[in-house]
Amino acid sequence: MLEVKSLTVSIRNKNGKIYPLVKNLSYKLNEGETLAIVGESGCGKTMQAMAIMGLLPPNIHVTQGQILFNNKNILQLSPKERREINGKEIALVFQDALTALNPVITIRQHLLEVFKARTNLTLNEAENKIKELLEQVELPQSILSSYPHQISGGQRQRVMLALALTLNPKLLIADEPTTALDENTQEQILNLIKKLQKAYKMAVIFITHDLILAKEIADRIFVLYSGTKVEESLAKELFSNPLHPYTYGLFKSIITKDTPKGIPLFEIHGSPRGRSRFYGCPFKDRCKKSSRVCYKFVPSLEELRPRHYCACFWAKSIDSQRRQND
Amino acid sequence: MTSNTILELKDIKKTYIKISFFKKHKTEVLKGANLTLQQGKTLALIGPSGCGKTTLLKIILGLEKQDCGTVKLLGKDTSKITKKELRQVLSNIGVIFQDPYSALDPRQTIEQILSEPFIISKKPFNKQTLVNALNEVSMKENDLKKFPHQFSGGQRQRINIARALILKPKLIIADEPTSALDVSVQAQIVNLLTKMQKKYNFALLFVSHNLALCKYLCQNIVLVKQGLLTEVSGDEL
Ligand SMILES: Nc1ncnc2c1ncn2[C@@H]1O[C@H](COP(=O)(O)OP(=O)(O)OP(=O)(O)O)[C@@H](O)[C@H]1O
Ligand SMILES: Nc1ncnc2c1ncn2[C@@H]1O[C@H](COP(=O)(O)OP(=O)(O)O)[C@@H](O)[C@H]1O
Ligand code: SF4
Ligand SMILES: [Mg+2]
Ligand SMILES: [Mg+2]
Repeated sequence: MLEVKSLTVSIRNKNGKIYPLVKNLSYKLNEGETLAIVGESGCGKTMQAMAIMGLLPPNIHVTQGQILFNNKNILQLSPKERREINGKEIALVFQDALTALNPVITIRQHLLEVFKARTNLTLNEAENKIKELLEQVELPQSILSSYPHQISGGQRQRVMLALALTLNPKLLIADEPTTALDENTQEQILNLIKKLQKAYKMAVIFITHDLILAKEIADRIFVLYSGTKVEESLAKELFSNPLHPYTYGLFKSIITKDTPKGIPLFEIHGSPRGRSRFYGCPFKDRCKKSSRVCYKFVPSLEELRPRHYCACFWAKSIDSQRRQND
Repeated sequence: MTSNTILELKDIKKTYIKISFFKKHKTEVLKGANLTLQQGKTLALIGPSGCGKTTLLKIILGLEKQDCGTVKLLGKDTSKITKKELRQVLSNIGVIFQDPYSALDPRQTIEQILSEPFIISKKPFNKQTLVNALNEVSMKENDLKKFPHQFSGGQRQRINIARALILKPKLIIADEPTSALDVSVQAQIVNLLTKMQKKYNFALLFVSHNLALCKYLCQNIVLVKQGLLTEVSGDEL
């Protein structure tokens, strides 16, 4: 239902220079499927979602590629056609609930607003729908008269989910919807998304930096690093066989109950910023496995195992060695 | 109470009352919260979303008023001291908020953000003080001129930490400082915080909903549940 083809999203900075935030990204999503996009903050997860929604900030544009939704390139739609799709066909749950909600209107008004603008429901019907929605996201009815700042971070995210579900979208893009929630609530929201997804045959793009969550909810996962897809596979496979050094580092950085106390945590040193991202492998400055070739050439995404793609020179050589040994 | 007690909460109660057109809603958030924290020690506060963790921190910082109970900071009952004394006491506390994205004023440069604690507490400083503070969190002098939006979440949290540490406080309060960050950055920030704690020996009140992280940070964990605080050994959870 959704196909992203060689999508490049670029920013024009103050000096008029253009550089890419998302590079040559391609992926497909089938009806009812859940895809998780994992990567560290700033790697372009939100920007690629905004490109799909047609909500990129003014200085940021799609500079290459296509986004096909039900075989239609939605990048070429008129603003009016776009507005029709947003909410009804594709809905987005924003990362930052507090800024996405209007501070001076109540939760009831937020929900009513959507029904009023987008449906022909009577006030009574809308109120009933709202009741249902609140039950679905497990919020008490009393929340309706609250303003966004009066409810906790967790409750705000549930409101965001209710808002996204008002028009029964076919594709839900959830941009870090559970980042601010405690583990129990995360679990509940994940289950809720799963349940709704089945009922409405909704496809879900779940954007997160949490690999564990990604595994729990997704059929497939891809890892984005500095705007580039570096690894993609079925969720289980990624866990049992992370191939890319970055993915491996992410796994190692997860704190578990067995993490030894009193010694520093494993960390991937440095940050993805800096000039050197314009040549060679984007991860080279932080990679423990890097060699000369990584500074000269950009590794391409290759299918190293069945349906398991990885862009890394080291992983490729290790994997071919492994296969020779087998 | 020993002289090393940095923070002591006694029987804090708080009910939010929200009046809407039809009826009055009461949310009893805290029903008698007690807590003590010693110099150089870490306490992790854990509890489900909406249980009142942030509310408790706001009360400690005087941003929200408790209905009853006492907050003692550095041995002083904060409701019984003058404004001036309170400012003096609060200058010994550094705060790192839940959300690195909205915690920094977007219109201020990093230089202004880092000078603010000095200006508020009327303490002298110079540019070198600010540069040193940035260097400690692995950031550079030329970052001073930049604005928050020019940094990633992890870098903003570093700036937050630099600001929280800049007056060499005796207590750092961190409200989920890493929950909006990805695991790799979380590890960096946690390592940075513990390194700084070794160096400056501040007490750390750390709010999180990540149990594994709480266990990693300290022996005893404070559960916030139904308005009460219970301290339990991490091994029991
Ligand atoms: N200004 C306010 N007015 C009315 N109710 C409030 C206000 N602030 C918080 N509450 C309510 O108090 C309770 C505790 O909120 P608080 O923000 O302390 O939760 P929290 O434990 O920090 O949760 P989270 O993990 O989601 O950040 C919630 O039920 C919330 O709705
Ligand atoms: N409004 C904006 N103006 C300029 N740069 C931006 C803007 N929004 C995001 N960026 C930059 O685009 C890159 C990708 O951002 P984003 O997609 O939000 O990352 P993620 O969602 O993966 O954390 C980052 O380098 C970020 O600094
Ligand atoms: S290509 Fe080289 S630098 Fe890039 S991840 Fe692989 S080993 Fe590391
Ligand atoms: Mg994002
Ligand atoms: Mg909170």
